[in-house]
Amino acid sequence: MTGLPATEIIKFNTCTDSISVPHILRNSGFNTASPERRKARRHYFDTFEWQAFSRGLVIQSEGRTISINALSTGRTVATASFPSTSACFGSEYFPLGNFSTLLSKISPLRAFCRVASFEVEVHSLRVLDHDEKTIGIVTDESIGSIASDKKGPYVHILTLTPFRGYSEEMAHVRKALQGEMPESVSLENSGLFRTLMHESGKEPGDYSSKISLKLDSQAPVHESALRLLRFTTEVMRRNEEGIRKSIDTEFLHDYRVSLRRARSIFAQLKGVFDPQTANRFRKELKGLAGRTSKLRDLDVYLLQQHKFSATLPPALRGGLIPFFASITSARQKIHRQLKRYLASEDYRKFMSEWEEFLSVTILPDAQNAPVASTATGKSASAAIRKSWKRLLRNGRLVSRETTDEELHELRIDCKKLRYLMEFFASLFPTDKTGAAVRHLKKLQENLGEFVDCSVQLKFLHEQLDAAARNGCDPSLAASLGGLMTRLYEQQEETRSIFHNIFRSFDSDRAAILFEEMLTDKK
Amino acid sequence: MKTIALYSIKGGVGKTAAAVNLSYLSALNAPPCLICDLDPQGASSYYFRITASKKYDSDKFLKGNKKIHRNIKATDFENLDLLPSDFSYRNLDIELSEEKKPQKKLKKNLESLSDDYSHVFFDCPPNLTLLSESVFSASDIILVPMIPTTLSIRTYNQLIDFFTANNLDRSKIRAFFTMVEKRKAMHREILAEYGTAPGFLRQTIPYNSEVEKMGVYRAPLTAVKPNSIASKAYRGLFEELMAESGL
Repeated sequence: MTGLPATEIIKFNTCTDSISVPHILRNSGFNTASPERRKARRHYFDTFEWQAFSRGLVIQSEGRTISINALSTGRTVATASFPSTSACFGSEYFPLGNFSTLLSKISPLRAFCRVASFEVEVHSLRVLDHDEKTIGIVTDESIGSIASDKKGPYVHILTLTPFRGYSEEMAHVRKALQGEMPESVSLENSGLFRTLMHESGKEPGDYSSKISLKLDSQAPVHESALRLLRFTTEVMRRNEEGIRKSIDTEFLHDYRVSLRRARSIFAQLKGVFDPQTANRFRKELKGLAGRTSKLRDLDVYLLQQHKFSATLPPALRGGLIPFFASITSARQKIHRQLKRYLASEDYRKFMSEWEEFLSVTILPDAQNAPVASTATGKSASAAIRKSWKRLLRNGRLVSRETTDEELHELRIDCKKLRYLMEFFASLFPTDKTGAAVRHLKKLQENLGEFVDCSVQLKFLHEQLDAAARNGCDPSLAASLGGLMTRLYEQQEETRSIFHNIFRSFDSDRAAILFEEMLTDKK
Repeated sequence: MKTIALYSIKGGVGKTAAAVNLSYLSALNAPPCLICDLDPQGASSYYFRITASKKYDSDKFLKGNKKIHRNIKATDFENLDLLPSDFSYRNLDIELSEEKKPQKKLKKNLESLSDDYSHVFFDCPPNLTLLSESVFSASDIILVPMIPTTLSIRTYNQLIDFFTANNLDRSKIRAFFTMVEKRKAMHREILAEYGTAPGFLRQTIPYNSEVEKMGVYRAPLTAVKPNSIASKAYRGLFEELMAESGL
């Protein structure tokens, strides 16, 4: 008989909950010992975008212990003590070590929140051979709802865990148990996890801010644009709660990206919507984006706290403490404002009008929106080509001095092209878009870093000015000065390599990639 | 991975009892731990209720790494595994002599375990053979249990002479007294003479009938009777060993 893998889960039909494992095993010549019974609440955790799950991991707590387990085998990878009942935490919640390192690898930015909770009743015992040697453990688990009014467990499972070197013997145990319960089926650990998530109304991996729409290249572009707008709006909606509760910074980030995408659709697909309506919504969306930008800026500083501190010599780090404390309190205030706005009648009204607009699928009047009925594929190619050519044209105009303004403008051109390519990715062969995007990405990274540095420099300069007006603390001034020096160096470095990076984007090879992508529609 | 051999030329001095109890304490305090039963009599395997699988023999042992890995079994105690011995081990010496570098064989065969265990204990058969030499080279510490009798002292000196004659590292050797009965004059005299000698551990293991009962418990005494006199002594020995040898 072949041995059992490290952990074997046998799932039983819930109607057979009156099985007696010791009894069945005794009849097959196995004794049992050290029975243990416990009742506990088990919580599962993951980030909003299921980053643990997508890496094949499951985070669960039971009692005062939290563990990260492999989804496929159930094997524990790391554990930590978890004395609190917190519903959300980040890696910094745990002392430095294996567990916190793994958490930050799963997601450096996102918070891990409770996704589902269950009442678990566990009955475990050791299985002994004729020598009274333990050969493995059988765990009998009933997992049910935490709501007391629900009857019966969701699943009733037996888990067989052979001790090292005893998988063959435990295979006999499995045979004995399965012989008594013909309706039982073997269950993968991942299958159990999915069942449990399903029971609590959760769909692992159901959120990503990435555009995953499959567009129809023959459909009128108006229809496709509406689908894209509905998608981005759905992402905004799903992130509202996380923004309100300030769970982590990425809710706002995804919300803002969706907003920018929506605005970009209006800006780049001209003649698809009635201009009057389009202009109105563009303006409104811009206003909404404006309301969120201050909060995002402060988030970015707070996220860089460690990095900023590490770039300074230890003697200058102290000055940053009051600096970040003031950013934290400013953030609180601004977050309250945004939260109020999201709960306001204005916001509710705007969103309902916006969603109403998205639900009307009738093509607009051809006079007002002349290209609304053009095939999506044709429109997409034209828009991408136009945007790409504009980026090349403007990039070639960047002077040797590479002024801040030139690079700022070019970054926006880059973003526009990137968005278009994301919107319409499903219309082009994946290998071609992938390669073209990689080229664009390099350029975007260079420009992004440059602009971030210059925005931060400006912000720090303002802080320094404000500090000077309020009777400046010299240690703060020194720290800010130190930071500004480092940022300036970084900015100049990205500026100095811009032309090289742009040349590679503007190469024949990259041009061939873009051309191939645009002509090679699916 | 640190390796500790329980070794003595003489039989019946408490090698197995020490290997079983010390490995259990090691699994508890510095996990994980492996105990390798090298004695064809398989006493430490018996104490843990483990028998080698039918396919396992000295041949597999000499093949090393993968074959060894596959035949390690978990004891009933957390973080403590055991590589059982097989009766075929009685021929290990003959088989070793046919190998290219028999003295280095054991060390080489256990290389792949170095990431799996922090401590490995060898429970060695009595005698001074090629297998013993292989154990000497594979061990960081050679722990020699001795009953305080003149015959024990004689075999201890034989061991020291062997190390000197063969240019082996004598500093690996640590002796300690077992089955000590203070009421016996000879025990007292030998303890007085050697108790503080260099290379001798201070902690002694008293004669205790509980140790003999391990054959009934079939488990480490330190696990089933942690408060017995002998268990306390083993704990003292373990701590002294850890502290003194930097294990």
